[in-house]
Amino acid sequence: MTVRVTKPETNLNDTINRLDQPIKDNIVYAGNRNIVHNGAMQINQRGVTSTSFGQSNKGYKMLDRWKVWEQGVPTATFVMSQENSDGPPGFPYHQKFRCDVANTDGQHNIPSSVHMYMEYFTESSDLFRLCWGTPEAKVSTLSFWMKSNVSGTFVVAMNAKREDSSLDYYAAPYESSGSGNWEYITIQIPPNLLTTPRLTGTGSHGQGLCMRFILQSSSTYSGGNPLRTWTASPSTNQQEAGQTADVGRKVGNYWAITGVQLEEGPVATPFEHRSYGEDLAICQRYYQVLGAGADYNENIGGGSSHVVGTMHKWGTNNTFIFTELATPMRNSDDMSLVQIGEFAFKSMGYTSNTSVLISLDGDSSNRMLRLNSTVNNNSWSAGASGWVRANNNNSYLAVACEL
Amino acid sequence: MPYNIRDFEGSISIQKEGADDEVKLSFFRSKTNLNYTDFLDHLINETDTLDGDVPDWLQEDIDERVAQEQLENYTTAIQRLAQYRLATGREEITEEVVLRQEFDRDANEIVDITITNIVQKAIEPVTPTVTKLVYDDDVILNPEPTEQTIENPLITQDDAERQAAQDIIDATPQSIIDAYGA
Repeated sequence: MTVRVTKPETNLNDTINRLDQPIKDNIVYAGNRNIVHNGAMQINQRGVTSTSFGQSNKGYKMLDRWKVWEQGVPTATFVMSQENSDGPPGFPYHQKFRCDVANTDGQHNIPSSVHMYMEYFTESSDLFRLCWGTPEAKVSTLSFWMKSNVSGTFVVAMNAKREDSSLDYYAAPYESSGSGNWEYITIQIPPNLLTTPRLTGTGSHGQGLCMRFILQSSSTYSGGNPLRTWTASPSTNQQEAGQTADVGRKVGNYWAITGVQLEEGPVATPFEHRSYGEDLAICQRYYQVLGAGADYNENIGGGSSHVVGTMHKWGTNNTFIFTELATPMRNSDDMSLVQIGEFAFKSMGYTSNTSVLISLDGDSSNRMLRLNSTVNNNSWSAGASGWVRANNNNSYLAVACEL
Repeated sequence: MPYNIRDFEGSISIQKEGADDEVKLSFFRSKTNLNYTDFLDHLINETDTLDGDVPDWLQEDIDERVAQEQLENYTTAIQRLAQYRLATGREEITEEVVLRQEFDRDANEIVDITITNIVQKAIEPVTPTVTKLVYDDDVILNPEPTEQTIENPLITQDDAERQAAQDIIDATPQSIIDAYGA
Protein backbone atom coordinates (compact mmCIF):
# COMPACT_ATOMS: atom_id res chain seq x y z
CA MET A 1 0.00 0.00 0.00
CA THR A 2 1.27 3.40 -0.83
CA VAL A 3 0.51 6.26 1.49
CA ARG A 4 1.02 9.69 0.05
CA VAL A 5 2.04 12.23 2.63
CA THR A 6 2.28 15.93 1.86
CA LYS A 7 4.12 18.31 4.06
CA PRO A 8 3.93 22.07 3.76
CA GLU A 9 7.14 23.67 2.67
CA THR A 10 9.14 25.28 5.35
CA ASN A 11 11.35 28.26 4.67
CA LEU A 12 13.98 27.87 7.31
CA ASN A 13 15.33 31.39 6.81
CA ASP A 14 11.93 32.95 7.41
CA THR A 15 11.49 30.93 10.58
CA ILE A 16 14.87 31.98 11.91
CA ASN A 17 14.22 35.59 11.03
CA ARG A 18 10.93 35.55 12.92
CA LEU A 19 12.59 34.09 15.98
CA ASP A 20 15.38 36.62 15.69
CA GLN A 21 13.07 39.65 15.87
CA PRO A 22 14.41 41.94 18.61
CA ILE A 23 12.10 43.05 21.35
CA LYS A 24 11.14 46.61 20.56
CA ASP A 25 13.38 48.58 22.86
CA ASN A 26 11.16 51.58 22.66
CA ILE A 27 8.13 49.94 24.22
CA VAL A 28 7.96 50.06 27.99
CA TYR A 29 6.24 46.80 28.86
CA ALA A 30 6.05 47.29 32.61
CA GLY A 31 2.82 48.45 34.22
CA ASN A 32 2.10 51.92 35.54
CA ARG A 33 2.84 53.39 32.14
CA ASN A 34 0.05 55.92 32.01
CA ILE A 35 0.96 59.28 33.56
CA VAL A 36 -2.64 60.51 33.17
CA HIS A 37 -5.16 59.77 35.93
CA ASN A 38 -8.80 59.03 35.16
CA GLY A 39 -8.00 58.82 31.46
CA ALA A 40 -10.98 56.50 31.01
CA MET A 41 -13.28 59.23 32.35
CA GLN A 42 -14.89 56.90 34.88
CA ILE A 43 -14.25 58.66 38.22
CA ASN A 44 -16.78 61.37 38.96
CA GLN A 45 -16.74 62.15 42.68
CA ARG A 46 -18.50 65.47 42.23
CA GLY A 47 -21.47 63.47 41.02
CA VAL A 48 -22.21 65.93 38.23
CA THR A 49 -22.98 64.10 34.99
CA SER A 50 -24.03 67.13 32.94
CA THR A 51 -23.30 70.80 33.34
CA SER A 52 -22.64 73.98 31.40
CA PHE A 53 -19.28 75.42 30.35
CA GLY A 54 -19.01 79.00 29.17
CA GLN A 55 -17.73 82.43 30.06
CA SER A 56 -16.68 82.57 33.74
CA ASN A 57 -18.39 79.20 34.18
CA LYS A 58 -15.27 77.09 34.44
CA GLY A 59 -12.98 75.10 36.70
CA TYR A 60 -13.11 71.57 38.05
CA LYS A 61 -16.79 71.01 37.42
CA MET A 62 -17.37 67.35 36.67
CA LEU A 63 -14.94 64.47 36.12
CA ASP A 64 -12.03 64.05 38.48
CA ARG A 65 -8.71 65.57 37.38
CA TRP A 66 -10.22 67.23 34.28
CA LYS A 67 -10.71 70.97 34.29
CA VAL A 68 -12.39 73.28 31.79
CA TRP A 69 -11.18 76.83 31.23
CA GLU A 70 -11.65 79.80 28.95
CA GLN A 71 -10.12 83.22 28.47
CA GLY A 72 -11.46 86.32 26.81
CA VAL A 73 -15.19 86.78 26.44
CA PRO A 74 -16.46 83.68 24.63
CA THR A 75 -20.01 83.69 23.36
CA ALA A 76 -20.18 79.95 22.70
CA THR A 77 -21.33 77.69 25.50
CA PHE A 78 -21.17 73.94 25.82
CA VAL A 79 -23.06 71.24 27.63
CA MET A 80 -20.39 68.98 29.04
CA SER A 81 -21.46 65.52 30.07
CA GLN A 82 -20.15 62.21 31.26
CA GLU A 83 -21.62 59.76 28.74
CA ASN A 84 -22.03 56.10 29.62
CA SER A 85 -22.92 54.60 26.25
CA ASP A 86 -21.66 54.64 22.68
CA GLY A 87 -18.00 54.67 23.68
CA PRO A 88 -15.11 53.04 21.83
CA PRO A 89 -14.53 49.32 22.61
CA GLY A 90 -13.60 48.81 26.24
CA PHE A 91 -14.56 52.31 27.35
CA PRO A 92 -18.01 52.62 28.92
CA TYR A 93 -17.45 56.30 29.77
CA HIS A 94 -16.40 59.32 27.81
CA GLN A 95 -16.56 63.08 28.25
CA LYS A 96 -18.53 65.01 25.67
CA PHE A 97 -18.81 68.71 24.85
CA ARG A 98 -21.85 69.72 22.81
CA CYS A 99 -22.27 73.30 21.63
CA ASP A 100 -25.63 74.68 22.76
CA VAL A 101 -24.92 78.35 22.00
CA ALA A 102 -22.72 79.13 19.01
CA ASN A 103 -20.29 82.01 18.52
CA THR A 104 -21.79 85.46 18.07
CA ASP A 105 -25.06 85.06 16.16
CA GLY A 106 -24.76 85.19 12.43
CA GLN A 107 -21.01 85.59 12.27
CA HIS A 108 -19.72 82.24 13.44
CA ASN A 109 -16.42 83.89 14.25
CA ILE A 110 -14.58 83.23 17.46
CA PRO A 111 -14.38 86.52 19.34
CA SER A 112 -10.91 88.02 19.52
CA SER A 113 -8.66 86.86 22.37
CA VAL A 114 -10.86 83.87 23.15
CA HIS A 115 -9.93 80.26 23.64
CA MET A 116 -11.81 77.42 25.34
CA TYR A 117 -10.39 74.09 26.35
CA MET A 118 -10.38 71.05 28.61
CA GLU A 119 -7.13 70.65 30.48
CA TYR A 120 -5.16 68.23 32.60
CA PHE A 121 -2.31 68.96 35.02
CA THR A 122 0.32 66.43 36.03
CA GLU A 123 2.36 66.87 39.15
CA SER A 124 5.96 67.82 38.54
CA SER A 125 7.09 64.53 40.10
CA ASP A 126 5.02 62.61 37.52
CA LEU A 127 7.52 63.78 34.90
CA PHE A 128 10.74 62.53 36.48
CA ARG A 129 10.71 59.39 34.32
CA LEU A 130 10.85 61.50 31.15
CA CYS A 131 14.27 63.00 32.12
CA TRP A 132 13.15 66.43 30.96
CA GLY A 133 15.66 69.24 31.23
CA THR A 134 18.59 66.88 30.63
CA PRO A 135 20.39 65.67 27.48
CA GLU A 136 18.73 62.28 28.12
CA ALA A 137 15.22 63.74 27.79
CA LYS A 138 12.89 61.12 26.32
CA VAL A 139 10.27 61.13 23.65
CA SER A 140 6.78 60.55 25.04
CA THR A 141 3.50 59.65 23.41
CA LEU A 142 -0.01 60.90 24.02
CA SER A 143 -2.85 58.74 22.79
CA PHE A 144 -6.64 59.00 23.13
CA TRP A 145 -9.95 58.19 21.51
CA MET A 146 -11.74 61.17 19.99
CA LYS A 147 -15.10 61.55 18.29
CA SER A 148 -16.44 64.71 16.67
CA ASN A 149 -18.75 65.88 13.93
CA VAL A 150 -16.35 68.77 13.31
CA SER A 151 -13.64 68.15 10.74
CA GLY A 152 -10.30 69.90 10.66
CA THR A 153 -7.18 70.30 12.72
CA PHE A 154 -7.37 70.28 16.49
CA VAL A 155 -4.45 70.96 18.81
CA VAL A 156 -3.29 69.69 22.15
CA ALA A 157 -1.45 72.70 23.57
CA MET A 158 1.08 71.92 26.27
CA ASN A 159 3.07 73.91 28.73
CA ALA A 160 5.54 72.79 31.35
CA LYS A 161 6.47 74.70 34.46
CA ARG A 162 10.04 75.45 35.49
CA GLU A 163 11.41 76.01 38.96
CA ASP A 164 11.13 79.78 38.46
CA SER A 165 7.47 79.33 37.40
CA SER A 166 8.14 80.32 33.78
CA LEU A 167 6.58 78.08 31.15
CA ASP A 168 7.85 76.23 28.10
CA TYR A 169 5.37 75.46 25.32
CA TYR A 170 4.66 72.85 22.67
CA ALA A 171 1.54 72.42 20.52
CA ALA A 172 0.67 69.12 18.85
CA PRO A 173 -1.91 69.08 16.05
CA TYR A 174 -4.19 66.15 15.19
CA GLU A 175 -6.83 65.66 12.54
CA SER A 176 -10.53 65.00 12.97
CA SER A 177 -12.42 63.56 10.03
CA GLY A 178 -15.70 64.93 11.37
CA SER A 179 -17.31 61.58 10.69
CA GLY A 180 -18.83 61.20 14.13
CA ASN A 181 -16.98 57.90 14.55
CA TRP A 182 -14.39 57.21 17.20
CA GLU A 183 -10.87 57.89 15.96
CA TYR A 184 -7.71 56.73 17.74
CA ILE A 185 -5.25 59.62 17.95
CA THR A 186 -1.56 59.23 18.73
CA ILE A 187 0.78 62.17 19.18
CA GLN A 188 4.51 61.94 19.67
CA ILE A 189 5.88 64.61 21.99
CA PRO A 190 9.51 65.63 21.42
CA PRO A 191 11.99 65.48 24.28
CA ASN A 192 11.75 68.59 26.42
CA LEU A 193 15.30 69.82 26.96
CA LEU A 194 14.19 73.07 28.60
CA THR A 195 12.02 72.19 31.57
CA THR A 196 13.61 70.54 34.57
CA PRO A 197 10.81 69.16 36.74
CA ARG A 198 10.66 70.87 40.08
CA LEU A 199 12.27 69.07 42.99
CA THR A 200 12.39 71.59 45.78
CA GLY A 201 9.93 71.95 48.61
CA THR A 202 6.38 71.19 47.65
CA GLY A 203 7.17 72.13 44.04
CA SER A 204 7.63 68.50 43.06
CA HIS A 205 3.99 68.00 43.97
CA GLY A 206 2.97 71.18 42.22
CA GLN A 207 2.13 71.75 38.59
CA GLY A 208 4.29 69.92 36.06
CA LEU A 209 2.85 69.48 32.60
CA CYS A 210 -0.41 71.07 31.47
CA MET A 211 -2.19 69.55 28.45
CA ARG A 212 -4.96 71.60 26.90
CA PHE A 213 -7.39 69.96 24.50
CA ILE A 214 -8.58 72.96 22.51
CA LEU A 215 -12.25 73.30 21.56
CA GLN A 216 -11.91 76.71 19.95
CA SER A 217 -9.07 79.16 19.59
CA SER A 218 -9.04 82.67 18.14
CA SER A 219 -6.08 83.85 16.06
CA THR A 220 -4.73 85.52 19.18
CA TYR A 221 -3.67 82.06 20.32
CA SER A 222 -3.52 80.07 17.09
CA GLY A 223 -2.65 82.47 14.26
CA GLY A 224 1.13 82.06 14.39
CA ASN A 225 3.62 79.56 13.07
CA PRO A 226 3.32 76.09 14.64
CA LEU A 227 5.81 75.19 17.34
CA ARG A 228 8.12 72.47 16.09
CA THR A 229 9.69 71.82 19.43
CA TRP A 230 9.52 72.90 23.06
CA THR A 231 9.93 76.67 23.15
CA ALA A 232 10.35 79.16 25.97
CA SER A 233 7.86 82.01 25.86
CA PRO A 234 6.78 81.74 22.23
CA SER A 235 4.52 84.30 20.68
CA THR A 236 1.02 83.99 22.14
CA ASN A 237 -0.35 83.16 18.69
CA GLN A 238 1.92 80.12 18.55
CA GLN A 239 0.70 78.52 21.76
CA GLU A 240 -2.21 76.81 19.98
CA ALA A 241 -0.99 77.31 16.41
CA GLY A 242 -2.56 74.94 13.93
CA GLN A 243 -6.02 74.77 15.53
CA THR A 244 -8.56 75.46 12.79
CA ALA A 245 -11.46 73.33 14.03
CA ASP A 246 -14.07 75.21 16.04
CA VAL A 247 -16.56 73.20 18.06
CA GLY A 248 -18.35 76.41 19.05
CA ARG A 249 -19.10 77.44 15.47
CA LYS A 250 -22.51 75.82 15.28
CA VAL A 251 -25.12 74.54 17.71
CA GLY A 252 -25.00 70.75 17.77
CA ASN A 253 -21.28 70.51 17.11
CA TYR A 254 -19.65 68.11 19.51
CA TRP A 255 -16.28 66.74 20.54
CA ALA A 256 -15.84 63.73 22.84
CA ILE A 257 -12.82 62.05 24.38
CA THR A 258 -11.77 59.05 26.43
CA GLY A 259 -8.84 56.66 26.88
CA VAL A 260 -6.27 59.39 27.41
CA GLN A 261 -2.78 58.03 27.97
CA LEU A 262 0.58 59.79 28.23
CA GLU A 263 3.55 57.46 28.36
CA GLU A 264 7.28 57.29 27.97
CA GLY A 265 8.62 56.25 24.57
CA PRO A 266 7.73 56.80 20.93
CA VAL A 267 5.06 54.09 20.75
CA ALA A 268 1.44 54.33 21.87
CA THR A 269 0.74 51.11 23.73
CA PRO A 270 -2.79 49.90 24.49
CA PHE A 271 -4.59 51.93 27.15
CA GLU A 272 -3.65 50.87 30.65
CA HIS A 273 -7.02 50.18 32.25
CA ARG A 274 -7.23 50.51 36.00
CA SER A 275 -9.90 49.13 38.28
CA TYR A 276 -12.45 51.61 39.60
CA GLY A 277 -10.89 51.30 43.06
CA GLU A 278 -7.40 52.04 41.82
CA ASP A 279 -8.49 55.03 39.79
CA LEU A 280 -10.64 56.36 42.65
CA ALA A 281 -7.77 56.11 45.15
CA ILE A 282 -5.45 57.97 42.76
CA CYS A 283 -8.00 60.72 42.19
CA GLN A 284 -8.66 61.08 45.93
CA ARG A 285 -5.18 62.53 46.28
CA TYR A 286 -6.67 65.64 44.63
CA TYR A 287 -10.31 65.56 45.70
CA GLN A 288 -12.34 63.38 48.02
CA VAL A 289 -15.83 63.42 49.37
CA LEU A 290 -16.20 63.30 53.14
CA GLY A 291 -19.97 62.92 53.18
CA ALA A 292 -22.78 63.55 50.74
CA GLY A 293 -26.51 63.27 50.33
CA ALA A 294 -28.53 60.98 48.12
CA ASP A 295 -28.24 63.27 45.10
CA TYR A 296 -24.68 62.04 44.79
CA ASN A 297 -25.48 58.38 45.53
CA GLU A 298 -24.90 56.95 42.13
CA ASN A 299 -21.33 58.04 41.75
CA ILE A 300 -19.82 58.14 45.18
CA GLY A 301 -22.08 55.99 47.31
CA GLY A 302 -23.37 58.85 49.44
CA GLY A 303 -26.56 58.81 51.45
CA SER A 304 -28.66 61.34 53.30
CA SER A 305 -27.47 59.99 56.63
CA HIS A 306 -23.86 59.29 55.83
CA VAL A 307 -21.46 60.25 58.56
CA VAL A 308 -18.78 62.87 58.01
CA GLY A 309 -16.83 62.40 61.22
CA THR A 310 -16.90 62.49 64.99
CA MET A 311 -17.72 65.77 66.77
CA HIS A 312 -16.53 67.22 70.05
CA LYS A 313 -17.79 70.38 71.67
CA TRP A 314 -14.85 72.57 72.78
CA GLY A 315 -16.95 75.44 74.03
CA THR A 316 -19.65 77.84 72.93
CA ASN A 317 -19.31 78.51 69.18
CA ASN A 318 -16.52 76.00 68.78
CA THR A 319 -17.46 72.46 67.88
CA PHE A 320 -14.81 70.36 66.18
CA ILE A 321 -15.22 67.52 63.72
CA PHE A 322 -12.50 64.97 63.11
CA THR A 323 -12.42 62.94 59.94
CA GLU A 324 -9.82 60.56 58.57
CA LEU A 325 -9.09 60.78 54.88
CA ALA A 326 -9.38 57.79 52.59
CA THR A 327 -6.10 58.69 50.87
CA PRO A 328 -3.49 61.26 51.87
CA MET A 329 -4.03 64.44 49.87
CA ARG A 330 -1.36 65.92 47.57
CA ASN A 331 -0.19 68.12 50.44
CA SER A 332 -1.61 69.82 53.51
CA ASP A 333 -1.30 73.49 52.62
CA ASP A 334 -3.23 73.41 49.36
CA MET A 335 -6.33 71.70 50.77
CA SER A 336 -9.69 73.47 50.66
CA LEU A 337 -12.98 72.42 52.15
CA VAL A 338 -16.01 72.56 49.85
CA GLN A 339 -19.46 72.55 51.44
CA ILE A 340 -23.04 72.65 50.21
CA GLY A 341 -26.29 72.07 52.10
CA GLU A 342 -27.21 71.05 55.62
CA PHE A 343 -25.51 68.83 58.18
CA ALA A 344 -26.76 67.27 61.40
CA PHE A 345 -24.62 67.53 64.55
CA LYS A 346 -25.71 64.79 66.99
CA SER A 347 -24.62 64.47 70.61
CA MET A 348 -26.11 63.52 73.99
CA GLY A 349 -29.48 62.73 72.42
CA TYR A 350 -29.80 66.21 70.91
CA THR A 351 -29.45 67.18 67.26
CA SER A 352 -28.63 70.50 65.62
CA ASN A 353 -29.43 70.66 61.92
CA THR A 354 -27.56 73.51 60.32
CA SER A 355 -26.10 74.82 57.10
CA VAL A 356 -23.64 77.02 58.97
CA LEU A 357 -20.15 77.08 57.49
CA ILE A 358 -17.86 74.22 58.44
CA SER A 359 -14.29 75.38 58.31
CA LEU A 360 -11.03 73.62 57.50
CA ASP A 361 -9.03 74.22 60.64
CA GLY A 362 -5.52 74.25 62.01
CA ASP A 363 -3.84 70.98 63.02
CA SER A 364 -5.32 69.37 59.93
CA SER A 365 -2.89 67.28 57.91
CA ASN A 366 -3.20 65.67 54.52
CA ARG A 367 -4.17 62.45 56.36
CA MET A 368 -6.65 63.70 58.92
CA LEU A 369 -8.79 66.80 59.13
CA ARG A 370 -9.85 68.94 62.04
CA LEU A 371 -12.92 70.87 61.02
CA ASN A 372 -14.65 73.56 62.99
CA SER A 373 -18.14 74.92 63.23
CA THR A 374 -19.78 77.63 65.27
CA VAL A 375 -22.84 75.45 65.74
CA ASN A 376 -23.95 75.34 69.36
CA ASN A 377 -26.58 73.46 71.27
CA ASN A 378 -27.08 74.45 74.88
CA SER A 379 -28.01 70.89 75.73
CA TRP A 380 -24.47 69.83 74.96
CA SER A 381 -21.95 70.27 77.70
CA ALA A 382 -18.35 71.13 76.89
CA GLY A 383 -16.57 67.96 75.86
CA ALA A 384 -19.75 66.37 74.54
CA SER A 385 -18.98 63.99 71.71
CA GLY A 386 -21.10 62.65 68.89
CA TRP A 387 -21.08 62.63 65.13
CA VAL A 388 -21.91 64.78 62.13
CA ARG A 389 -23.72 63.57 59.07
CA ALA A 390 -25.13 64.86 55.81
CA ASN A 391 -28.72 65.81 56.50
CA ASN A 392 -30.43 66.06 53.15
CA ASN A 393 -30.11 64.92 49.59
CA ASN A 394 -28.02 67.83 48.35
CA SER A 395 -25.66 68.04 51.30
CA TYR A 396 -22.08 67.74 50.29
CA LEU A 397 -18.74 68.07 52.06
CA ALA A 398 -15.49 67.45 50.23
CA VAL A 399 -11.83 68.36 50.43
CA ALA A 400 -10.00 69.51 47.32
CA CYS A 401 -6.29 69.77 46.63
CA GLU A 402 -6.33 70.32 42.88
CA LEU A 403 -3.55 71.61 40.67
CA MET B 1 -20.25 87.58 50.12
CA PRO B 2 -16.98 88.81 51.62
CA TYR B 3 -14.24 86.57 52.91
CA ASN B 4 -13.42 86.39 56.59
CA ILE B 5 -10.43 85.15 58.54
CA ARG B 6 -10.69 82.64 61.36
CA ASP B 7 -7.94 82.55 63.95
CA PHE B 8 -8.25 79.82 66.57
CA GLU B 9 -5.29 79.56 68.91
CA GLY B 10 -2.99 80.90 66.19
CA SER B 11 -4.30 78.59 63.48
CA ILE B 12 -5.52 80.66 60.58
CA SER B 13 -8.00 79.65 57.92
CA ILE B 14 -9.87 81.78 55.42
CA GLN B 15 -13.59 81.32 54.94
CA LYS B 16 -15.95 82.19 52.13
CA GLU B 17 -19.61 82.10 53.12
CA GLY B 18 -22.44 81.25 50.74
CA ALA B 19 -26.20 80.90 50.77
CA ASP B 20 -27.64 77.56 51.85
CA ASP B 21 -27.58 76.15 48.34
CA GLU B 22 -24.27 77.74 47.38
CA VAL B 23 -20.76 76.45 47.80
CA LYS B 24 -19.01 77.50 50.98
CA LEU B 25 -15.23 77.37 51.08
CA SER B 26 -12.51 77.34 53.66
CA PHE B 27 -8.79 77.00 53.11
CA PHE B 28 -5.38 77.67 54.57
CA ARG B 29 -2.95 80.48 54.04
CA SER B 30 -0.72 78.90 51.38
CA LYS B 31 0.72 80.58 48.34
CA THR B 32 0.18 77.46 46.25
CA ASN B 33 -3.43 76.92 47.33
CA LEU B 34 -5.68 77.69 44.35
CA ASN B 35 -8.38 79.18 46.56
CA TYR B 36 -5.91 81.28 48.56
CA THR B 37 -4.36 82.73 45.39
CA ASP B 38 -7.87 83.39 44.10
CA PHE B 39 -8.57 85.16 47.39
CA LEU B 40 -5.44 87.32 47.01
CA ASP B 41 -6.35 88.11 43.39
CA HIS B 42 -9.87 89.09 44.44
CA LEU B 43 -8.46 91.51 47.00
CA ILE B 44 -5.82 92.87 44.58
CA ASN B 45 -8.38 93.37 41.81
CA GLU B 46 -11.03 94.49 44.30
CA THR B 47 -13.53 91.97 42.93
CA ASP B 48 -14.24 90.84 46.48
CA THR B 49 -13.69 92.15 49.96
CA LEU B 50 -12.51 91.04 53.36
CA ASP B 51 -14.74 91.31 56.37
CA GLY B 52 -12.53 93.36 58.72
CA ASP B 53 -9.11 94.95 58.43
CA VAL B 54 -6.33 93.48 56.33
CA PRO B 55 -3.78 92.06 58.80
CA ASP B 56 -0.04 92.62 58.24
CA TRP B 57 0.65 89.04 57.17
CA LEU B 58 -2.07 89.25 54.52
CA GLN B 59 -0.77 92.58 53.22
CA GLU B 60 2.70 90.96 52.94
CA ASP B 61 1.21 88.10 50.91
CA ILE B 62 -0.63 90.56 48.67
CA ASP B 63 2.56 92.57 48.09
CA GLU B 64 4.55 89.41 47.44
CA ARG B 65 1.99 88.15 44.93
CA VAL B 66 2.03 91.44 43.08
CA ALA B 67 5.85 91.32 43.01
CA GLN B 68 5.83 87.67 41.93
CA GLU B 69 3.46 88.47 39.11
CA GLN B 70 5.68 91.38 38.05
CA LEU B 71 8.74 89.12 38.08
CA GLU B 72 6.95 86.44 36.02
CA ASN B 73 5.76 89.05 33.54
CA TYR B 74 9.24 90.59 33.38
CA THR B 75 10.86 87.18 32.79
CA THR B 76 8.37 86.36 30.05
CA ALA B 77 8.86 89.78 28.46
CA ILE B 78 12.65 89.40 28.44
CA GLN B 79 12.33 85.96 26.82
CA ARG B 80 9.85 87.31 24.29
CA LEU B 81 12.13 90.14 23.21
CA ALA B 82 15.06 87.73 22.92
CA GLN B 83 13.30 86.11 19.97
CA TYR B 84 14.04 87.44 16.51
CA ARG B 85 11.68 89.91 14.87
CA LEU B 86 9.60 88.33 12.11
CA ALA B 87 9.91 91.43 9.94
CA THR B 88 13.70 91.34 9.92
CA GLY B 89 14.43 87.65 10.19
CA ARG B 90 17.59 86.34 11.78
CA GLU B 91 21.18 86.42 10.62
CA GLU B 92 23.40 83.41 10.48
CA ILE B 93 26.00 83.23 13.20
CA THR B 94 29.12 81.16 12.68
CA GLU B 95 32.22 80.38 14.64
CA GLU B 96 35.63 79.17 13.57
CA VAL B 97 36.85 76.11 15.42
CA VAL B 98 40.45 74.88 15.26
CA LEU B 99 40.44 71.22 14.33
CA ARG B 100 44.18 70.62 14.42
CA GLN B 101 47.51 72.16 13.52
CA GLU B 102 49.64 71.23 10.52
CA PHE B 103 52.99 72.22 9.19
CA ASP B 104 52.64 74.36 6.05
CA ARG B 105 55.74 73.71 3.92
CA ASP B 106 55.19 76.76 1.68
CA ALA B 107 54.89 79.13 4.58
CA ASN B 108 57.35 77.13 6.63
CA GLU B 109 55.26 77.42 9.75
CA ILE B 110 52.62 75.65 11.81
CA VAL B 111 49.13 76.71 10.74
CA ASP B 112 45.68 76.11 12.20
CA ILE B 113 43.26 73.91 10.26
CA THR B 114 39.84 75.31 11.05
CA ILE B 115 36.23 74.48 10.39
CA THR B 116 33.28 76.85 10.32
CA ASN B 117 30.43 75.89 12.59
CA ILE B 118 26.96 77.38 12.15
CA VAL B 119 25.90 78.36 15.65
CA GLN B 120 22.61 79.86 14.57
CA LYS B 121 20.85 79.26 11.27
CA ALA B 122 19.63 82.26 9.33
CA ILE B 123 15.87 82.75 9.03
CA GLU B 124 14.42 84.85 6.25
CA PRO B 125 12.00 87.63 7.19
CA VAL B 126 8.36 86.91 6.46
CA THR B 127 6.67 88.66 3.54
CA PRO B 128 6.16 92.27 4.66
CA THR B 129 2.73 92.68 3.09
CA VAL B 130 -0.17 90.50 2.04
CA THR B 131 -3.07 91.14 -0.32
CA LYS B 132 -6.66 90.67 0.73
CA LEU B 133 -9.92 90.98 -1.13
CA VAL B 134 -12.30 93.63 0.13
CA TYR B 135 -16.01 93.72 -0.74
CA ASP B 136 -18.07 96.89 -0.81
CA ASP B 137 -20.80 96.49 1.79
CA ASP B 138 -23.11 98.80 -0.16
CA VAL B 139 -23.15 96.56 -3.22
CA ILE B 140 -25.51 93.67 -2.53
CA LEU B 141 -25.69 91.86 -5.86
CA ASN B 142 -22.50 90.34 -7.24
CA PRO B 143 -20.11 92.71 -5.55
CA GLU B 144 -16.70 92.94 -7.18
CA PRO B 145 -13.87 92.67 -4.73
CA THR B 146 -10.98 95.07 -4.76
CA GLU B 147 -7.48 94.16 -3.69
CA GLN B 148 -6.01 95.81 -0.67
CA THR B 149 -2.40 95.49 0.42
CA ILE B 150 -1.90 95.36 4.14
CA GLU B 151 0.96 94.68 6.48
CA ASN B 152 1.42 90.96 7.05
CA PRO B 153 -0.77 90.21 10.11
CA LEU B 154 2.00 87.97 11.48
CA ILE B 155 4.30 91.00 11.59
CA THR B 156 1.55 93.16 13.07
CA GLN B 157 0.95 90.74 15.92
CA ASP B 158 4.67 90.07 16.43
CA ASP B 159 5.43 93.77 16.67
CA ALA B 160 2.45 94.37 18.95
CA GLU B 161 3.59 91.60 21.29
CA ARG B 162 7.16 92.90 21.24
CA GLN B 163 5.90 96.37 22.10
CA ALA B 164 3.74 94.96 24.88
CA ALA B 165 6.78 93.11 26.23
CA GLN B 166 8.84 96.31 26.06
CA ASP B 167 6.08 98.20 27.88
CA ILE B 168 6.17 95.60 30.66
CA ILE B 169 9.94 95.92 30.94
CA ASP B 170 9.76 99.72 31.01
CA ALA B 171 7.14 99.66 33.75
CA THR B 172 8.90 97.10 35.92
CA PRO B 173 10.18 98.52 39.23
CA GLN B 174 13.96 98.38 39.76
CA SER B 175 13.53 96.04 42.74
CA ILE B 176 11.96 93.44 40.43
CA ILE B 177 14.71 93.86 37.81
CA ASP B 178 17.31 93.35 40.56
CA ALA B 179 15.48 90.22 41.69
CA TYR B 180 15.54 88.91 38.10
CA GLY B 181 19.29 89.29 37.87
CA ALA B 182 19.93 87.83 41.32
